[in-house]
Amino acid sequence: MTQNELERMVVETFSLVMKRSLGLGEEVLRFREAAWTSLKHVELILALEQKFDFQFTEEEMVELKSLSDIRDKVAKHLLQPTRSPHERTLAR
Amino acid sequence: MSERGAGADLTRAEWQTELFSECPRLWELLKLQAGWPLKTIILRVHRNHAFELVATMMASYAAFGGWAAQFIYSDYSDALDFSKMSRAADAELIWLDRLRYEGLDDLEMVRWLSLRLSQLRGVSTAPIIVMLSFASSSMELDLQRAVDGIAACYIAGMSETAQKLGDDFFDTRLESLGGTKLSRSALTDVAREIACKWVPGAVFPPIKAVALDLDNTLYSGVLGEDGREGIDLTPGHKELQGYLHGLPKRGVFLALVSRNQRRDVEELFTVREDFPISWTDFSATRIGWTDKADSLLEISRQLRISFDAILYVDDNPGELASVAMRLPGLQTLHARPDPFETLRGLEYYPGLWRWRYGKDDRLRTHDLKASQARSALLAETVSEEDYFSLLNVHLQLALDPMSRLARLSELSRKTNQFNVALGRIPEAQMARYMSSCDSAVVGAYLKDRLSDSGLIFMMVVKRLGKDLAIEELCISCRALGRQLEAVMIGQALALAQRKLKGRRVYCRWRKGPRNQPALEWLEKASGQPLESSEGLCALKFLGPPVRPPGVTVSLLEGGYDAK
Repeated sequence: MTQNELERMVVETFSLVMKRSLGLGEEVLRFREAAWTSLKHVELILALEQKFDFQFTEEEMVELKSLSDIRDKVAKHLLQPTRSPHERTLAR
Repeated sequence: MSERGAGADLTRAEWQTELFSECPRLWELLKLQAGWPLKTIILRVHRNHAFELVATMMASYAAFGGWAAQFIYSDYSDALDFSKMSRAADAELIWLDRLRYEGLDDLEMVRWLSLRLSQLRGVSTAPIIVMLSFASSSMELDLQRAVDGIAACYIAGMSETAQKLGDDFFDTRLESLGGTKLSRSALTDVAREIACKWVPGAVFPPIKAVALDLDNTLYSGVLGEDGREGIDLTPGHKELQGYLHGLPKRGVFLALVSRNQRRDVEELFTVREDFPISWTDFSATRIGWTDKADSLLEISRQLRISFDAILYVDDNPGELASVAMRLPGLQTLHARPDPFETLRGLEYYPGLWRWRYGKDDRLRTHDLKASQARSALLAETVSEEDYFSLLNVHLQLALDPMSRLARLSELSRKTNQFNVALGRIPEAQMARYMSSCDSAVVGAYLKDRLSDSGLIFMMVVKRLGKDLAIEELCISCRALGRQLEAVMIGQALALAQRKLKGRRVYCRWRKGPRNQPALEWLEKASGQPLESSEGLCALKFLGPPVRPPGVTVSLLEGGYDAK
């Protein structure tokens, strides 16, 4: 997947969840976005996890404060597939 | 459920793959936006963990069924406080995380919760749906037993989802941010159950018949081209047919609408012994080259049901759009190339799944066959007395039969033709009519030599000063056409009089799209034309209760045992 494709998919998912249109490369900061409530944040995370087939850690979920944070974190996971929380529990 | 245009039926067909896939994708669900009118259903959620994620995931499923939920949320509370309910809701949803009640064992939890539900019933007449996350199946069963006496109170099988998903049912990461321990898979699964089964099963009129196309719907192939041995019953089609075969036992008629030669189709069902579905499973068939909308209208006439209570399944989306245009309100489902998808579409079709199946449901298909024999008998016999004597008609009446609350409410909600006031009375309201000394509910059961029709009549009578008013009067279409309407009404009214002792009798009425048979009776009984859209009129030509020779009438004390 190219960087552009990833960006497009993240933006599309964000737009669907927040119900607002968004251009490629546009930055969105969580504290400035009224619609980005904690429940919408979880909905966004669940949609991204299912779309890209990985799981954020609990710490990462809290750290995602902007659209660029999300894009970077998704890219990181796609490059280095991580274990799901269940898999980590089983591995311990 | 709202009426849609033909284009909407095509869009819905496109949605099916995503909605009824084994693992629906959240971002795809969010893309599905209905372009057709949706009926608003008000759901009040009493909760101790977050419901909002479920609400988001429910939206597209509800839109598929023609409705949109408007939520009223309680504060987060383990105590279930019902004191702040200011407006009426269409359903009360109890959404609890069992793990938050660590101090209560299962028995104590069942006892406490059933008391709270009983209190809720006291302040709301809407159906109550209880969803307990992390409760065992045995606790759900115990709770269902404990609330059996509470009208329209249903315990949803959340434990089934938990069992199906195993470890994937919960996701502890979500608790602090999302306010629930349920995983994405669990939330999606439960959203689909709520929007397609649990709420429609409690709030909407049920689907009464499934009308099926044949080629590429019940099997793979075309009978006219591949021949009866050449068509393929794939494992998926076998499962689909198995599901359909079970529907008549649940009171849902099966009908066949096919462009084929009738003889070929009859032979197909005789020869193909591997088909789980048999020719006798169909209560009505229309096979030939006529327009499918005309065939469906004829099917609705044969089954004595309105066409909007029929779900039509066809593999040709153009055909679905065409019949939807001719018959707005008809329910449609696209038979997908993958029969498992069609099967899931049926399992989740709003209104097809019900909370309860009783004796009356099992009787329905047999009763229809008996009515055809009855019509033949009526044509042959010369007098009404001979007709009743030959049939050996037995009418049983019950006053305030609390044990049949669900069926009486169902009659009120389902009957469209002989339904005078279209009151659509919920179970809880029906229970109030029965327990009040100012009102009475009379049920009637009908049996003859050909069939046991079960509970087919319901009348609600209220005191109106020194007089009485019939607030609701319904006769199932299964009992119509037997020349017994006046007998049942007269006998029921006499029984209500015993309890309420009124002087004159009035009847409340409201015109609907299909209740002409009831209004025709009322025009005769009142001696006046019903010109406005609703009203209250005095009954003038009732006379004493009649009992024609050949008909026996008895009174059932304490209701009727349906088991």
